[in-house]
Amino acid sequence: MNERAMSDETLDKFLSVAASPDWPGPARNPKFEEFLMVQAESDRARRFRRPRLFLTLGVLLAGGTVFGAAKLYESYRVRVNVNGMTYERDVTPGPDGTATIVEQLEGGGQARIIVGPENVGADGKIHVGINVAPGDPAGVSAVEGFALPEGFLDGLDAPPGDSPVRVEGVPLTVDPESEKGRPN
Amino acid sequence: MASTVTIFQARRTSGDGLHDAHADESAQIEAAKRNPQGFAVLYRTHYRAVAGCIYRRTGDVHVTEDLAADTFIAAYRAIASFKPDRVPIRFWFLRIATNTVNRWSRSQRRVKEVRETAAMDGGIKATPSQAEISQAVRDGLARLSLAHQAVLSLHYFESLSVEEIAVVLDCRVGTVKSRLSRARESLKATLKQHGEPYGSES
Repeated sequence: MNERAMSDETLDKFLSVAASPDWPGPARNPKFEEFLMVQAESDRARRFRRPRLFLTLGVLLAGGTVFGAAKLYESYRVRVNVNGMTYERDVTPGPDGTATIVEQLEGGGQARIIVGPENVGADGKIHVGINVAPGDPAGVSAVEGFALPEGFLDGLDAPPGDSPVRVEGVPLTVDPESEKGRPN
Repeated sequence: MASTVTIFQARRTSGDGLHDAHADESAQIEAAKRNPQGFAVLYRTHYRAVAGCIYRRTGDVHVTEDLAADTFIAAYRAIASFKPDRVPIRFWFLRIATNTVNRWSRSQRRVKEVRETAAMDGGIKATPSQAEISQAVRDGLARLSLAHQAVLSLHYFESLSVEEIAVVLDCRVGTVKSRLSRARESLKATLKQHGEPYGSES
């Protein structure tokens, strides 16, 4: 065998020796398994978060709607102006969404005013106007923008003349800016 | 490269058992892409082979554990883009392991130079032990280019054919053959030059 062949043979032998050791360490890698556990935890949290996010969004959406509705009907400030006299009350709607305010009018008589969701205009405010016309037995001749509940005019003893009786209600939670433009 | 693909296809279709094994492996890969628990199956299946591959180049258990962890972390992060029709999963792990060891090897060169200088001072031993031969070969390998280290270790340590090495390293068969030939010559020269046990055998 010449020098070159011997060299190849020896090299092969050495490489064979160097190739012989199998992995003498453990069959598991703590560092990687820790990494994998963190990933699994993160993955589980992500999977859990996803439906919870949708649920939260759903609740927020539904809650927002309900809150918006509740905000509208939760409470009204109702003002009744009769010949310059202002009667102002905060009222809270009942389960049917309507609220009743009963005012003793100056000079006697009683105004029983019922407001409800149907009185809320597109601007989110309630605009109700009651005109008292002379000769009207109840003292009230017309109601604008208001579906008169049965018995609305009962007991209302309006003063004579055509002084308007205006009834209006706005949600208490309305922001100040929108309050500025509130019509009488 | 085309011949390499043919070899793998022939292996996969040569029997029902291989078909089943291939189907199992495909299922494992899909599961690994879905979640960490799925990847854990691949990790348990291939860990020893990958660790062995790294160990035969580093010769150090602790370094190997670190590099094996890095290898599997890199594989976990890349598994979503893994395409089993291009490279078998085992070779893909070996590819990542080779790259990981290459990076480590590059960073260790200065350290090794110091150690090797000290070793040279000890002279040539007449009857080197297997451990000394292994260490000498590893040290010799470390002096070669990373490309030569890769082909030699994959061919002689992992017993891969040149076609399989071409798949692992994603290069042509002819390139592997020429690198292998040059790497052998370089290793012989390096061992002789540095007075490793090689010299005492020739």
